[in-house]
Amino acid sequence: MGILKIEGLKKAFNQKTVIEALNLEVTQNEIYGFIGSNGAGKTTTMKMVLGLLKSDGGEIYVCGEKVRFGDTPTNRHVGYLPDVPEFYTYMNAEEYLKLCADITQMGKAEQRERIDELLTLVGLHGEKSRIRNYSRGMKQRLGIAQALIHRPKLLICDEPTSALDPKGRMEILKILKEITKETTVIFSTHILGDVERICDRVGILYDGKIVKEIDMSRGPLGEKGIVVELDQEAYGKVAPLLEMHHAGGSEYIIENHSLREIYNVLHKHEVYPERIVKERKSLEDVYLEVTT
Amino acid sequence: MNQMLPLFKKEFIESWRNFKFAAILIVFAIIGILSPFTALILPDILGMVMDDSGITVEIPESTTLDSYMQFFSNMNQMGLVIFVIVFGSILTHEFSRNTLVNLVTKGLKRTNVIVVKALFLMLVWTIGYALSALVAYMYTIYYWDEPVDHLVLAFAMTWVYGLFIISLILLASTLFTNSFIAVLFSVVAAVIVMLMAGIHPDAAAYLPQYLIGNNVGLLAGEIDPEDVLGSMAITAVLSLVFILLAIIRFKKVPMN
Amino acid sequence: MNMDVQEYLPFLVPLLLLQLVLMLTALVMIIRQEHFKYLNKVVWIIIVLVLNIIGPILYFVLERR
Repeated sequence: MGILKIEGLKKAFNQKTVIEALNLEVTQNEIYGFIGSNGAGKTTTMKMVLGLLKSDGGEIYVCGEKVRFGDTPTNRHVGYLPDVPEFYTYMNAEEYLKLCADITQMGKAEQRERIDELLTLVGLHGEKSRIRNYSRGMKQRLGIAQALIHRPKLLICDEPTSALDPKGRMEILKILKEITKETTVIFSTHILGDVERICDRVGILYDGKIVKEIDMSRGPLGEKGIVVELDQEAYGKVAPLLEMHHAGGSEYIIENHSLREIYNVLHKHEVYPERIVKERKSLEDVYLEVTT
Repeated sequence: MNQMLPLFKKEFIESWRNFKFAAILIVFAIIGILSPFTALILPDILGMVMDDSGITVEIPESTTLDSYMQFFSNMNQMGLVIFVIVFGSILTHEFSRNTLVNLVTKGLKRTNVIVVKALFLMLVWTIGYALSALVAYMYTIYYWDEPVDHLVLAFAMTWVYGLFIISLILLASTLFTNSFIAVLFSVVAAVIVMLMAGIHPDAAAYLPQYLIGNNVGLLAGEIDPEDVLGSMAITAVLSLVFILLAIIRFKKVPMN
Repeated sequence: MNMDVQEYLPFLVPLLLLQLVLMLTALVMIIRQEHFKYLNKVVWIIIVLVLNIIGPILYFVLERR
């Protein structure tokens, strides 16, 4: 069964359509990467899943239950890490997590254990200073801890790594990977490298819809073509015989010929390129393909 | 229900650690001391001024009534204004800093947010006001020692008016979400509307504003206790209605 | 006049003490605070020292949200 199911979701701000007929299904224990440019509607979609914003049409189900705008009971299944998590800065991490645990009405004994466990997970155990003095990275890690306090089935992260330095990003990605044993994670980002590193499945949001879904576990994303490095003279010799296009520098991409054909042509004209390589598509290539 | 206690505790920690709670207690205590003090020294000061200008007029000694007049004038203006400025942002700052998102997405009932904030403000107002009134009362009976009638009711009038202002703050906060300035303007606008409506003598006695305009009148015997009950009841009902409206509105406020 | 001051001490002593608590607390908080939303450390210290009661209140409201 799908943990999260979105059907025909719509949202407009001041008559400007942001989300149009968005369909999405996320299954248990996967990491789903939700990618799209800034302003594509990733945050808006997430806030509708959380009942923080009202949708203009369509349905959202979390663990089979319908999401309502306002106090939605489905939030008990969901943990949320906003892009810039805000805390009561006059508290320390432990006090804040205690407040969160109290809100979810967790028993005292379980609370203590869970808070200990989470502080260790995010590397804030023994951190006594008030949140006021935290760095961006520490706040993001505390953000994950608070989102997981009630052992949600679904963790929604909005751009969790965007504002962090490389070290901070690695820490967050490591934590996200670690928690998929118990939790399904959906995270939005525009950093494709992060997605390639940890996601099982990727949805590309463009023009208010998921225009492409990619199963990252299925291996390569397809062939991009054969890249050949040719100097000016060599290019002149083989250009009439091979259909190719310029890829920048001295690189040319050949899409419609097999490697065998290419070798034959090159050999015949005594052209010996520095480099011939069969290149696979990167996520970036696919992203650019479907969003332009 | 169980969510209210931790929320209440959070409000308390917040106003304790940023010193707002203690600050309001100190300010209210100062009002409690300053009021009888002003009443006591005013004839002396006037006398000195008169002497300097060479006029000799008999200046009457101040009375219990003068002391309470000072108290209500200070509390109804300065005290309430400072209370609104210090605590009026209790809900708007949660919007402007997005701090409620984490809690609401954990299943915090939005109704509880409003109820707890209302109860907390009422508690702070009640403690601060009671402290101020008690201090003023003790000085007054020590220095003048003349009993006055209906003192408790006179104190209660301003207290109920304060509860009304609290409900107004919360309703305005749910309407304007992240703008504390808009909340301040709403409170000021509401007071102006009441003052204008109060020009009509039939309406005046039923407006909340009546409560803070007639404390001394009641003590001086210019009005009877029964005359206050109308506006007292209306103010209480209005406060309750405002809180309910705030709850209803807050349930459907988008959180960005 | 001396008589008067003696007579006023029951008012003046607690008034001064309360104002002092307000001012000192604000000063300690200002000195320990590193980032200010409005103004800066020195200006806040001056405001709190010069403006009785109102100064500390302004600081608590504007900088301690």
